Parts: sequence; C-alpha cells; structure tokens
Amino acid sequence: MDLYREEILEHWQNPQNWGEISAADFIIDQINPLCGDQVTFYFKIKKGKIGEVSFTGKGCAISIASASILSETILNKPVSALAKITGRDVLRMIGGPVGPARLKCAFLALEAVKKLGGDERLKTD
Amino acid sequence: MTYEVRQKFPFLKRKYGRQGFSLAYLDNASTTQKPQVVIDTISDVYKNHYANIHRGVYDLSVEATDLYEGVRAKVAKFIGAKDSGEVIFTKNTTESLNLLAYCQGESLTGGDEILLTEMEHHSNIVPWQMLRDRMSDVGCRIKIKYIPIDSKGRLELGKLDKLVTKKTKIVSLTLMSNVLGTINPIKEIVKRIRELSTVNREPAPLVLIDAAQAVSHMKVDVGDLGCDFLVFSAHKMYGPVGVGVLYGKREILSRLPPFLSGGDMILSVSFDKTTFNEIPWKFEAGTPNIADVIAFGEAIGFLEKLGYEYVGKYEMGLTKYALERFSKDPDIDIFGPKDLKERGPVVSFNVANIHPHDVASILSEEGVAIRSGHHCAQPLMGVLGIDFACRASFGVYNTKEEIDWLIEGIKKVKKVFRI
Repeated sequence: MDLYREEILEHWQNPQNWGEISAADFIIDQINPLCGDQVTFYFKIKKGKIGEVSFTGKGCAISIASASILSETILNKPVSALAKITGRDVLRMIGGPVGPARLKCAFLALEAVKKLGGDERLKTD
Repeated sequence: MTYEVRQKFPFLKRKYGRQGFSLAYLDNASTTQKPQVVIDTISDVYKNHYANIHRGVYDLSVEATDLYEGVRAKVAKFIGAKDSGEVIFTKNTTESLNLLAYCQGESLTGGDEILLTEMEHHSNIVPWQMLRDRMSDVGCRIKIKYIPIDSKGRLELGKLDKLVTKKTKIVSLTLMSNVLGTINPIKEIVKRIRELSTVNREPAPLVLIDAAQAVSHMKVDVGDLGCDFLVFSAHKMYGPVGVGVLYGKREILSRLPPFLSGGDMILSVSFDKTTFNEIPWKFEAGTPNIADVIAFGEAIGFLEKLGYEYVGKYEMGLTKYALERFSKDPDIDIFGPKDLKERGPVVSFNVANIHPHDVASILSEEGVAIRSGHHCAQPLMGVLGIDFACRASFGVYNTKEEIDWLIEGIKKVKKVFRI
C-alpha cells in the first residue's frame, strides 16, 4: 500500500477549491475528535445542485487530499446525490486503501459533505 | 544491562516491518510495554490465588486479600506514604482525578478558585471545568486559573504570587508534562504556596500532583514533594492496564465523602441509611481489579530492582542523544526545555509543515512507533501556537539504535514530502 502516492501529495500541496465562499448558503464544520483534524466546507446551491464548493481546515495529507478530491467530484452534482457517496467511493477517488488507522482521516470530508445532504433547511427549499 | 532489560519484555520478540526487527516502541508516555513477570503474575493469580477479597472466610479468599493488600502496602512504601490507608486503588489517573474533583471539589464555596497550569493533560482540566459548571448550576461560582508557561515550556513561577489568592482552595498540576517533558519544581512551588497562605492568613490550598508521566522515570516521594494528593497509573510504569492510584493524606481523605457507592465501602447498611467504611475501602466500592493490582506489585518490584538512579541516567542518555540528533536538522522544531535538568524523556517535535499523522504513518512503515496528535493537551497546543505535534517518549528498553531508526525514518518522511 503506497499511502503517499503522487495524487495524494499533489492535492496536499495544491488543494483544489481551497478557501472560503463569502456568501455561502451552507457552511459545515467537521472535527475528528481523536486527532483534532478539522474541515469547514462552504457550499452555494444552484437549482438543487452544488453550484460552488470550497473548503478550509487543518489536517494531514490524507484528510486534505480527500477533501480536495471530494470537492472536485461533487461540484455540479445534485445535492440529493451526496447521501449516496460511500466511504468506498472516497477510497476509490483517492486511488486506493489507506489502512485502518487512517480511515478517519480519509472520511473526514465525506462526513461534512453528507451533513449537507441531510440538512433540514435544504428540504424546505 | 540494556540487553538484560530487553530480554524481560516479550513484546520485543515479535518482528515488525520491513527490517525484520522488533518494533522501536517510542510511545511510552502513552503506555509502556509489560515485562514477563507482570504478565506471568496476572496468569498466576487467576490460576492459583483467585477469589474475591475482603469477603470470604475461606483460605483462598484470605490469600487473595493478603496479596491485594500487600500491594497497597508496597505502593505506600514506594511513594513514601505514612500508611497504606492513604493509598486508594482506582482504574487509572483519570479516575483518580475525577474522584477528587467530585469529592474534594464539592466542598468548595462561591468565589473559590482552582489553580491549574497551561501544560495540563485534559484529564486535569475537564473534571475541574465540569465541577465548576455543576457548582454554577446551584448558584456557586468557582473560578479556574492557569499558571502560564514561558517560551522554553517552563512554568512562569514569578506569576505564582499573583495567582495564589485567599480564594485559592485547590492547586492541581503535573509533575512532568506529557508534551513538553518539562519536570516542574513541585517542592519549590508547594513551599511558595504555603508561604503565601501564611501571608494571606488563610489555610493553604490543597496541592494535587499528577505523577502519571513522572513515576516511571524518577523517584516520587509524597513527603519530599509536600503534596496533599498524588495520582498516577500502573500502565505507564510497566504495570497492567486498569489500575490507578490515588494517594491522599489520611486526615483529608477521612473527611471526604465517598465517590462510588455499593459493596465493600460500607460498615453497615439498613433500609434507611448507611455508615461508610474507613479509608481506603470507603473509596473502593465493588469488586476491584484484583489480579491486575497484584501484578502491579511486580511492576513496582521491576522498577525498584533496576533502581531509579539507573533508570534516570539511562533514559536521559537516550533523551540527550535524541535532542542532539534532532537539533542537527533545521526542519525539526523541538518543544519543551533544551536543558536536560529541566526535563524528562519525552520529546515532542514537528517536521517542517508535515502533519504529525503523516510523519507517524511513514515511521510506522519503518518499524518506529511514535505518537501524533494533540496529546490530550489542546489548550497547551494553543499556547505553543500549533495544532498537533509528534512525540517520541523513551522507556528502559529503548536504545540509541532505535533513535537512529527514528532519525532515518524522518529523513524518509522528508523525502516523501519533497522537503
């Protein structure tokens, strides 16, 4: 298992969609209490789709890279599709397994994104 | 000598990683590995000496009771307590601290202050915050203050005179920081606190020492430290998991209400009321961790046989070597005092801008185990201006060769991250 494969390092060095969206419709924080890693996702919803997405946070290469890759994947996707993304999908996106000790890191961004899918405010729209 | 010590630890016989060597286990501040004698004793208790204690009149129960109470006496002697009634067995340091935050804490009244330090583990912060909040719910305002640390990771004791007031009732601090490695001058602190109380014409605050980190590295004597309470865990000093110690002065412990209630902590129970047992049993409700307490006695024996003079010298030799090798790499930031006289064998560091989890993952592939994260000291991380750190902590079975692996591993980390 090559944990620090090129793709992960690339996204760690140059995370995509990094930053804040000033007029975001939704801002979602997610913390991993075990290690203190944290991500904040910003979303703008356009016609039921992810019109804009960005994130900030502090974390290891695995959690930053998976947030970066996930943000690229969900852009322009319907919000309803977010709930269907699985951990397995995320591992596929980041190019393979990360080992049991680092699953929490890989799934931190996914947990934030899934929270958006389940947000009550979306349902009243 | 190191060879003989290593022979006593079966975990070193397991081969790890690519090299086919034993694991370079450098996470001793978290928990230590166990010598054969401790492992064997647990097994022997269950095979040959196991029954419930303080209950049966049959011989086997008496035997188990004697072994259990024998370790209590051993612990009392080990830390210089006046009698074994001052030694209470708990689950771990955290439980000991919670016990005190409940039982001693609720004697506080409005306006009282608790003094902690910025370098405390969460277990010596959260129970006091919860106490403060419980008291606040009944209209009683308690204040928590913190002794700050300086840029070298030492307590700013010049500020003690201002921080200790007439209202200070409890001072709770660590003997050795689990992040910085700093060894605090407890004797000096206790002396100053008592002097200030004399000036303030108030009874001195109770002083609680968290010795969880220190006790495997240095001789800890409650009389010498001058503390009222001392807490530590067996599992950080080569003993079994699930045994903690709370030492308290007899007159103070006798005054305190019980913590948990149930069997063994009573003298008599009727449908209307209960009279409580004497210390230490008043604080040991329910069947305790019999086999592990008995095996803990062997861990103390193991350390005493090595002798703290040897242990301190050996481990500080490793620490000196690690600090020297670290300081040669400009990409490594070391936290805590550089002066060996002010610290113990715990070294926290960061490698450039690489997250400690990534450092630890790569080191794990190289057969080196270090801790990464906030080390249950998030407030301290804030003071240090970081979110996370790597930590290598040494024990009696570690070697300079293992530190070389650590250094080589860090080179690999830098290579992977192109630094």
